[in-house]
This record gives sequence, structure tokens and C-alpha cells, in this order.
Amino acid sequence: MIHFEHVTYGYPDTERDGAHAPPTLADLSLHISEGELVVVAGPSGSGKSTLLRCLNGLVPHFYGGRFAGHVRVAGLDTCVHEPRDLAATVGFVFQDPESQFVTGRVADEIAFGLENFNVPPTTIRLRVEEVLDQLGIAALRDRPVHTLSGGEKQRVAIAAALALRPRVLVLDEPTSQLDPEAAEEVLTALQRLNADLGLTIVLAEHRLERVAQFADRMVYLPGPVVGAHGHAPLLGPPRQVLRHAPLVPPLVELGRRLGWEPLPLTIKEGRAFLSGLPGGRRTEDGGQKIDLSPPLIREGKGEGCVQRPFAIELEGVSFAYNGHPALRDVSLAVQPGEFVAIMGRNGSGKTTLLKHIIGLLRPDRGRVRVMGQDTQALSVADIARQVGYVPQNPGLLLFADSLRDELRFTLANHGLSLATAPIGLEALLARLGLAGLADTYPRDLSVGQRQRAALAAILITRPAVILLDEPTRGLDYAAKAELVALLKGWQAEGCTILMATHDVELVARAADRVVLLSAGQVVADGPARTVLTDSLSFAPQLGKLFGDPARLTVEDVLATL
Amino acid sequence: MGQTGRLHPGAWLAWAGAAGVAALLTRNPLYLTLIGLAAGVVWAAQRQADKTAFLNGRGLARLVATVLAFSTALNMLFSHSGRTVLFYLPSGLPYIGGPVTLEAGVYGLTTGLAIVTLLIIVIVVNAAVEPAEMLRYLPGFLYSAGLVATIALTFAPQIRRALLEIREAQQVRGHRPRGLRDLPPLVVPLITTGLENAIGLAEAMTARGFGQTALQPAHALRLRVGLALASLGLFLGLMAYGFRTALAPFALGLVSISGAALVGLLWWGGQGARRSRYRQHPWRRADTFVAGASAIFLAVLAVLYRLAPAQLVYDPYPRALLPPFAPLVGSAIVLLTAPAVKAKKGKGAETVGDKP
Repeated sequence: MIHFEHVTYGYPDTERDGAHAPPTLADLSLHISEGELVVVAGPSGSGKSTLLRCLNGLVPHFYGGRFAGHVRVAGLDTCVHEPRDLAATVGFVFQDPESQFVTGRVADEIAFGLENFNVPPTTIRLRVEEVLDQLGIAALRDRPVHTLSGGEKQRVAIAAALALRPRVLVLDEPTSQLDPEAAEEVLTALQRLNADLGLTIVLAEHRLERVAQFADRMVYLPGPVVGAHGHAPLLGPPRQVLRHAPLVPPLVELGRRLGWEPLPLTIKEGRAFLSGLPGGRRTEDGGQKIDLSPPLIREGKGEGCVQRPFAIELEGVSFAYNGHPALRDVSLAVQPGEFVAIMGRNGSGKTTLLKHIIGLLRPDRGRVRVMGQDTQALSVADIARQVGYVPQNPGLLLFADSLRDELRFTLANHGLSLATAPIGLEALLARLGLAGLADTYPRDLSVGQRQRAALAAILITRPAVILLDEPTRGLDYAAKAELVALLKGWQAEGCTILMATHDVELVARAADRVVLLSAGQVVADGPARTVLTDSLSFAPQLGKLFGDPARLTVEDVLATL
Repeated sequence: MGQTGRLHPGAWLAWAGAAGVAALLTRNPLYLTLIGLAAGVVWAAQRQADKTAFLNGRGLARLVATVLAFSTALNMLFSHSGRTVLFYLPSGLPYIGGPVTLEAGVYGLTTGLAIVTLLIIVIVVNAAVEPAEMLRYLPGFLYSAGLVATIALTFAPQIRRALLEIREAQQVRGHRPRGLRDLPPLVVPLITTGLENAIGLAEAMTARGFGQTALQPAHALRLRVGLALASLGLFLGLMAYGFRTALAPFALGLVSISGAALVGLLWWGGQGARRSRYRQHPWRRADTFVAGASAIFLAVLAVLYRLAPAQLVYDPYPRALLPPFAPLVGSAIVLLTAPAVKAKKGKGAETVGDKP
């Protein structure tokens, strides 16, 4: 069905210092048979998207660059056939559901590809109904696309790709912009298409814990080729690939450390090994003793980022956007030095809550107190001096020609200069893993680096409180681990951290306390370990396995042995 | 409600054309008020069928009141002609000092009425016809250009939202835009993210089979040259007609020949397009009814314009008198409420059996 033969590809413009940058794909050979579901994994920047774009000829036709070797899909050579001709053979779904829609309504969107291929209207009608049913979105037929939720949008995008009856469906991280439930919707739909229709599916995905179980095979791309040879991509059944891949989900990580055979991919498979462990599954009174009391309030140390610690208090805050309630009677007090994760589905009010703390939004009812004062009496600039807010999309912040200018700009806004900055530029960049990049153009950085560049632009003033909105979007396991280490470091120095996220594994490793929002209301507020263990949809993998608040991460479990 | 109960975009365009021409042609405040009311009735019927429409009743009333008040007040302050002086503003005041007259007020109000009527028409058509739907009726050859325009329309709100988000993000960094020099932090991210989105969309459209060329390259070139020549002819003809009356016969000839060539070429180009259209709106009797009513109204208007132009023209200066009113014209304007009649009936109707 799909044949890669010695494919080597490098994007254009990768020439630096006169030398060619290493190619994104190097001598890749790969065969995928009909009906397989193949997951493409690997750290960000390892060429997952590039590999997928080879399948419908976007690489090299759309991007240019240097291409060697052959890719054949259903007998068609992608070098000879243009992407638009391959569209009927290869359906492609992109990462961001927002940016792939052309028309206003669901049915029209699905018909778009068929119209391009001059399919008679009667057939179009039939096909549209067919795919609407296949993806369980028939009720959305006449809805304007922009009123749909993220998961619905992504399913519409899949339906639009399927309407052409492609032989292969390719998806580039279709769930990375979605919350856990919406991601589940999409992945379940994919699994059904593969099982019921025998559709060949090639899927790039960061969250391997969701897909490893139903993948037939896995391709692991190890990342930019270093040196002459670099690492060869891993290829094989998921169990085999995950045994050797550097970045794996927590359950697999634990299984590898404890030598579980066969390597468990699902919670169900993991349960079988529990009896062999001391403590086993938690009994009524809990196996291990652990301190579940609220975390200690840390004192800011001399080197710390805190000017003066202060609490954040919300009292009965309600807020509505044009009559649509976003927060309802939210009360919350955050002590200095706490690390709080604000969790909940997309649209549950997480961002709105953060924006109230930084003063971008003022409550309709209730009060928000920051630095001991009501935010009604403070300007955003006043608050911003001590509260740093990192928005979801770092692209919104970065505009300057170099990272250095970017930081200088923030300082200048606060009446400071690089000389009078509370933390040295190089020291800050080094801590963020950006050492030596001060003169780089920020948009040339990788996704993870860009995220940290945005952090640097905010943290250069050393705010006492750091607010983060979905900091792990598009980050791989390694980048997440780095971020966790970084944030824990800042916390240890006395910073208060509030982080809106639906990344449960991140929360399990980093946060002390979890506030769970649903439809603008606080539905749970307590120590991270208890809230995460009690929740079904917001439980980390090992939390589901052990059901024990003391064992949520691999480190926890290893420590109890 | 889906596609079914609604009027054909062509019917809407006929209605908007008739109402718009009328609003532009007449300066008679009585007729203008009636046309505005007719458009308002259509708006109300449409809103009843689809509650999500832009603006509620109070919003529309506020819009109408603001435009009328602004237009009237502005003309009263700045235009000092007219005989019926209401009061004097101190002549020391620049521009606005001097007599304030009733005539100026009436003139401003008439202008305001015309603007309000056109606004309501635009609001109604905007809510009734989606740009993507209009796209289906473009000749195949113009499809790409039309699609670009539609996408631009749908992107406009996205850009506004992005700008808002960028402003917030920079504000949080302590940025306070004061002058032109403070613009790059807002504009640069907007442009770069905009470009990134555009590339993403282009990629998605390519991956979905968009852009298959309809014609042989040689034919496409001939078509383009032909279109350019025909457009040029049309333009020159119109210019000649406008500037030199002596050239009129020649100009009219040129206009008609170029126009015919343009239509022919577009039709030919459309023939070659390998592109099907999903669910084109069926033309039903309701649509004929609306289009017919609009056409009859336009005919009445044309006859009136020819035979008794004084009916349509109303000039309050130098002294405001009651404008003329012909009951026939008044009742003809009622024809403009045709879409409202159909909108109500069409709500329950599923497919074809919709009686006029």
C-alpha cells in the first residue's frame, strides 16, 4: 500500500554558515500494508509531520527542498503525482482544526473535496450522509463550523477527508489541540474506522498512551540526525518499539523499569502485574502512608524570584462573555509558594480565571485580590510587574528580531534595562535551556524552545506569581519533563505558580494542588494527589492503575519498592 | 432550520436590488420611510425564523435612531440655508455658527432615512445569504477568485480575535501602545501568525484536491487575454459615454459588444471547469414570487421615474413643504415585503410543495 524507498529529504532554507543542515528524513525505508494502523512517534522536530506529508506529495511539491528516493502510495509515485491529484487516494487531517476549513457549514465542508473532483451532486449527497453517519456527527449537518467544539471540528475534518473514499487516511497530531475527552472522541472514531472499514491509517501522535494499544505498528523517529549516522528510526509492533524508544508513556516506563513482560500497553494489561508488587492495589485504608495535608508554604529565599510574597484571593467571582457565563461564583485562595493546577475541559473557564488574576478581565460580580489590593483598583501594567502571564500561544508574544531584543522590550516596558534586570539575561536563558540563543530570531526556534522563549520574555522581570495557560501544547515528553523541572525550581525559590492545563501527567508530576473547573464552577479543590486519584477523566495513567494517591508517577512507585 | 425553508440567493438579490435601487433613487422621505419599514418587516420575519441572526430588535432600533439623529443633527449644524429659521447659534463659533433651519433638518433626516434603509437591506441579505452559498452561483471560472473573497470574509473575525489576543499578551508584558513606534509588537505577531495560518490553509486546500486546472493552459491564457480585452472595451465605452455625448452611439455599441463578449467568455470558461456543485438551492415558486414582486416594483419605479420624476425627487430647500405622495407608489412599496410573507410560510415547508 505505502512504500518508502530510501527517502531523504531536507527543507529549503536550511543552509546555515554555508553548510547544509542535516536532512529531516535520512534514508528512510518503510512499508505499510493495506488495513494497518501505524502510529508515527518521536520528539518534536523529529520529522513526523514531514514523513506524513510525503504520503500525499505535500513534500516535496508544496514545500520544495531536496528530495531523494521514492514514495509510492497505492501504486502512485508522489514525485509524479501532485498533492491535489493524490487527494482522492490519501485523505489528510491537520493538527489545527481551525485552519483547515474553507466553507461555513459542516455539510458544505464535507462536500468541498468532492466538488473539487467533479463528483455528481447526487453522489455527493449520498457520500456526505454516509460519512456523517460513520463519524456520528449527522446531527451537526447544518451547523456553522465555528460553533462546534474542538473534538467535533476534528471529526468534521476527518469526515471531509473520508468523503473522497481515500485508501489511506493520514492524520498529523489530530488531538494535540484537544482536551482529554475530545481527544478520546477522535481516537475512538479512528479506531472504529480502522476496525470496521479496514481503512489504512497513518497517525502522528504525542500521547502514545492513547494510541499504542490499537496500533498495529509504530514508527519511532529519534530526532534530528546527529553526526554522520545518527539513530535509525525504530519500526515494528508497538510493544517492541516502546521497549527501546527514549520517550514513552508512564505505564510503559514503569513496566520497563520493573521488567514486566510482555510490556503492558493498557491499564488492563498492567493490572496483571500488580499482585507481584509490594502494596499491590490500594486496599480500603490505603497501602502507603503519605502526607496528604496541604503543601508547606515556602519562604522566599534571597536568590528567589519573589519581591514580596502575597496571596491571590477570588471571592464569589462571576463573569460572562456577552451573556454567556464563563465563571460562576468562583472562590479560591492561593497562598504564596503554592503550585496550583487549574484543570477542566476546554471552555470550562480556565483561561478566564487566569485573566481575572492578571486583570485583563474584571469580574461582573465578586472580588479578585492580588498583592493585597482589589484588581479593580489596579492597572494591568501594575499587576504585570509582579504577576507574569504566559499565554497559550507563544507566537502572540514574540515579535522582535532576536531573543535579546525580546527580553529588552519587556524590561523597557517596566522601566528597566538589561543592566538593571533582576536576573541576568544569560543566566535566565541558561536556566531555560536557551543558552547561546540570545541572538536567534525567535520564530526560528522549535516549538518547545519557542514556549520557553515566551517564558523568558515574561520571567525576565522575576514576577512573584507565574500564570501559565496550557504550557504543554505540542510539547513532547522530554520538553514537558524539562518544563516541570524548571517550574519546580522556580517554585522552590518561592514563586507562586498557577497553571491552566488538561495535561494530567504533567499535573501529577508538578502540582501540589488541583482546582477542577466545570462550566465555570469549581467542582473540586484539593491536594493534587487526592483530586487526581478521585477523578476518572483527569486521572494519570498510574493513578488509574494503582488507585493510590501515593503512586501517581513512575518515581512515586519506584520509591515505594 | 436548514437549507430547505429558505429563499434562493437569487431571489434575495432581486429583492435587495429592487429595494436598494428604490432607496437610492428617491429622495422623498415618505417613500423612504415606507421602503425602510418594508425592509424592517422582512428583517423581523427573518429574525423570527432564525433567532441567531445578527442584532436584536433593540439593537436595530438603536442603530436606526443613532443614524437618523446623527445625520439630522450634523446637517442642521453645518448647513445654514433654508428659510424656516428655528434658532441662531452664535456666529463666533467656527463652521456651526449661524441660523439653524428646519430645511436643513429635513434634508438631513431624508439622507439618514436612505442610509438606514440601505443598512437594513444589507443586514437582511447578509443574514439570509451565506457567502459560501453565493459562491455556488459564480461561473466556474470565477470560482477561485470568489473562494478567496469568501475565505477573506470568514477570516476577518479571526483576525480581529487574534489582534485582541495579541494586544492582551503584550499588555501583560507591560506594553502600552501610545504612538506609531509602539505598533510593531502588535502588528508583527499579527502578520506572522496570519501568514502561518494562510500557509496552513493553502496546504489543507491542496490536500483536499483544490486547484485542479479546468482548462488547457493554452486555453486558459486565451481566456485571460480575452477577458482583459473585453473588460478594457467595457471600461472605455463607459468612459466615452460619460464624457462626450457626441460619442454616445459609438460608446453604447462598444459597451454592448464588450459586455456580450465578457459574458460569453465567462460562460465558456465556466464550461471547462471540472467542478461539481453540491446542493445548489432549488428555485421554487416562493422564489419566483419574491423575484416577481421585486421586478414589478422596479417596473413601477421605472415608469414613475420616466413619467413623473417629481414624485421621487423631493427637495426641502428653500422652504420645506409636505412631500408629494401617490397611493399607487405607496402600495407598490408593499410588494417589497414579499420575502417576509414567504419566510413565514417557508418555515414549515420541507421541499417543493411551497405555494405562492
